[in-house]
Amino acid sequence: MIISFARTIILYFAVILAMRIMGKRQIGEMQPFELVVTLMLSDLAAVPMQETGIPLLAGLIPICGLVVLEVVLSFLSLKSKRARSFLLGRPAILIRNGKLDEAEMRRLRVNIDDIEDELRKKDIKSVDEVEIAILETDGNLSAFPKADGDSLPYTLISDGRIIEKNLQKCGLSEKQLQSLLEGTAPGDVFLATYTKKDGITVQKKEEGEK
Amino acid sequence: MRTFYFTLALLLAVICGLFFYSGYLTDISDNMLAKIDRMYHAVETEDWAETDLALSDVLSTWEKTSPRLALFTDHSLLDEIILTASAASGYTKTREVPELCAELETLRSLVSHIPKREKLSLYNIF
Repeated sequence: MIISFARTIILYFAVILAMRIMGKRQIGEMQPFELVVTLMLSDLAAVPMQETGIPLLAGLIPICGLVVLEVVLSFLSLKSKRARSFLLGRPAILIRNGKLDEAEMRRLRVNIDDIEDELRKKDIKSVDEVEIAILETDGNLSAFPKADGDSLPYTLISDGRIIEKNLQKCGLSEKQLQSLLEGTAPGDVFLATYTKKDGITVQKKEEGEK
Repeated sequence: MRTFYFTLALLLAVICGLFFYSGYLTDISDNMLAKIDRMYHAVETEDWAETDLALSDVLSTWEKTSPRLALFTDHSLLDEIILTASAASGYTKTREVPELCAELETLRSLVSHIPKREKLSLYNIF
């Protein structure tokens, strides 16, 4: 019994250390692979706690492996858009200007009842009150009612890369984008968003990151 | 970035550690097997003085190495080795050759199983 107790204390601190290394993203479970890591971490810690015949390292090494995987994958998703899409998926627009996108709903296997349920939680009475509703990669539904007035901003530049698709949706060319940036090179921009009402909002990269 | 480099360093340390420990287990196992073989040969020739020496060598080596092995290996396997060695010790006292030979074969199998069990192979992964 005392062995189980000693192992529990060691593994408890090991899990806390693992969560601290993985950071706030992990605690918030922002993405699917983070949920996977949390589930696996609890099982990996629980087994050596109870089974004293298993070496303690048989729990600590896999925990270490999960931490490494999580940090590396979250770093990759930070640096590469392709990796981000592969690992996290993409947000999907389910409602546009009060109309449901049936093809997207079929693709995501989301039914109307699920959507109406989520809208009610956001104090929105019906689908036609919604300007845009997005199913995020973490499974949450973000909904913007029509009464807001502002349209959703488009991301034109993300971490120095121009997003051509959004540029086309805004009806802008690269030349127009350059003039909006007022001399700043796209590669020096961390984030640039655009709305018809407010125009372009630019955040430049920090000195060390250029 | 600091966290990223730290985890890469951790990954490297774990991989190096795992390769080192795989070699270490093989060395321990080979050392024990050599001593068991020595004892087996002594039993076959019914040289009981040599058998007693060899047995004491096996038991003292096991006493030294088993705490380190307990860090990496399933304790049930180590317990089985201890039980088999105890049985062998009993049969040595009573000079029972067939039973002692059987126990030594079992001991041999168990000890040679230690590095095989921890080896990186498809068999072990699946």
